[in-house]
Amino acid sequence: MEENRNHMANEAPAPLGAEPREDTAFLPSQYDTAVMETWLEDRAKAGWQLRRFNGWDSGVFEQSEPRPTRYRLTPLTRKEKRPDGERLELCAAQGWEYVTTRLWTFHVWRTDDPTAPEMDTDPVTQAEGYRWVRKRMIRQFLWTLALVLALAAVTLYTSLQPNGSPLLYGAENAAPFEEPLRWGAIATCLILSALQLRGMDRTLRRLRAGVPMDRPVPYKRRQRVTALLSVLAVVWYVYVVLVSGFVDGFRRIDSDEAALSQARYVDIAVLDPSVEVTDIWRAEAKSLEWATDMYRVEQFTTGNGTTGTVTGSAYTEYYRLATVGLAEELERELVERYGTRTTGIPEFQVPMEAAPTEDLDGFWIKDWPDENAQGAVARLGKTVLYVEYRGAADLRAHTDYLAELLR
Amino acid sequence: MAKEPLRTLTEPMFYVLLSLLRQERCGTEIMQYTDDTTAGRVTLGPGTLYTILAKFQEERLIEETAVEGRKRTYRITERGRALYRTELGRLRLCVADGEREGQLALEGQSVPGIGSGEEER
Repeated sequence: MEENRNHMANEAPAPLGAEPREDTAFLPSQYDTAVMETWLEDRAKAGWQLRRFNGWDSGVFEQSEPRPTRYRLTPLTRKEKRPDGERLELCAAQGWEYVTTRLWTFHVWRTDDPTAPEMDTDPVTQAEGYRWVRKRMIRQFLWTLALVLALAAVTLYTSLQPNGSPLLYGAENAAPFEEPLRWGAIATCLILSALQLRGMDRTLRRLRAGVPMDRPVPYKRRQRVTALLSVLAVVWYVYVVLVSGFVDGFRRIDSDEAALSQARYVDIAVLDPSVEVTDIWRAEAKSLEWATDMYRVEQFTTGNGTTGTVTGSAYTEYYRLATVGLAEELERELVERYGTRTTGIPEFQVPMEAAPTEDLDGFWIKDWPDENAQGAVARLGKTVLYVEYRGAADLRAHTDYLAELLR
Repeated sequence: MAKEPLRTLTEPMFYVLLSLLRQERCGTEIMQYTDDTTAGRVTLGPGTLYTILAKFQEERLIEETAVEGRKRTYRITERGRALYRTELGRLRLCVADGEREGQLALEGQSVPGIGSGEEER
């Protein structure tokens, strides 16, 4: 309780006589009645009386004279917005004032009368009153579990698709930390639901054995955890649901000299020393937990720069993966995706062919002779690149250069 | 929590049935009756009373007979009377057992399977 008192000391109300202020505070628990009652009573002693609940996670308090107030929470026995008239009558007759109702869980009552009888005088009967709330808790737990299983099934299904490109899709579309955040948030929800259910069952076992509910109980640490999780849930929602839907995580670096100098891409001037003028159309960089360095760079050349006509280009996708296994899988996906890429002419729909070389762990290439163009996938260890090149050089003759880029 | 029929009654549950044996009553009257009859030994908190009334209606041990504004009046059903009699019988047996053992203890006889009072001390 010491920590509870410390908490209250930080919440000095405004001088009395001033306009009543409102204060919002995170609930220390979703379902633990004793924790909630202790917290509400401490808030009352500090001069804050509960007015209503704000959504699922917080309560709105009104400033009042600091006074000892008894708060009691009674579980809902069915879906209702407020207690029925009979209950209000019974409680009022015993000195209990109805305060508010928390959606799908509790009615909140309070009394300043120390002689008012306790709200619940029979632990066994009290346990009986929790039947509906506990059913809702189980339903919430099962929904969360179903969500986890559905997400896992979708992930598994996508990765097992023969023509699917889950790694490429993730590399191109996932925002940084999107996957860990998603799974972390879901796992946290699941664990929290299970812990709440276990806590409720413990309480009910005690009540059914005739042991009254303990009060007061410490709640400060639990309140901090609940507040932290609520903030995380909001961050997760905003980031994963809103931001990641519109942001793929790539950032433009073509006007950032320092970042561009770090980028790995196939340089036309290296492939063909006769080229004098090159420029970058577009360059992007991205980093994910499992693909630490990614670049997409489009470079072009105007030859010696005299005519201003584009005479060649190179488009590079570069990926440094966390493991060799991931790199091998990405190599397969790149070959599958770009192996059949055409210029729109059916006869060019030929797959990439393996062209083993000592310089690389994997090398695949295809030609578009009429366009003087080539497409190639190269892998060395954990690093993979795809290059689409238009120019005079032959990529087959530059595997040592590609290997150098991939190191 | 699965819906479970009542097998035994707690003290507050017993007094709610008892209060309705002879006449119909509303919630406040049931509270008052219990307090008077037990001289304050058994207190029916409003939360407890409301839960008991809801459970008893669900189990069809009592039924509502009138609603006047917020005031609802209840009466005991045949099913409720039967449960009351069963509970009364159980309590009588408990009391009889307790009195018999108490008598034996006073007479200094040991109880088979338990031992004498001396051993217990």
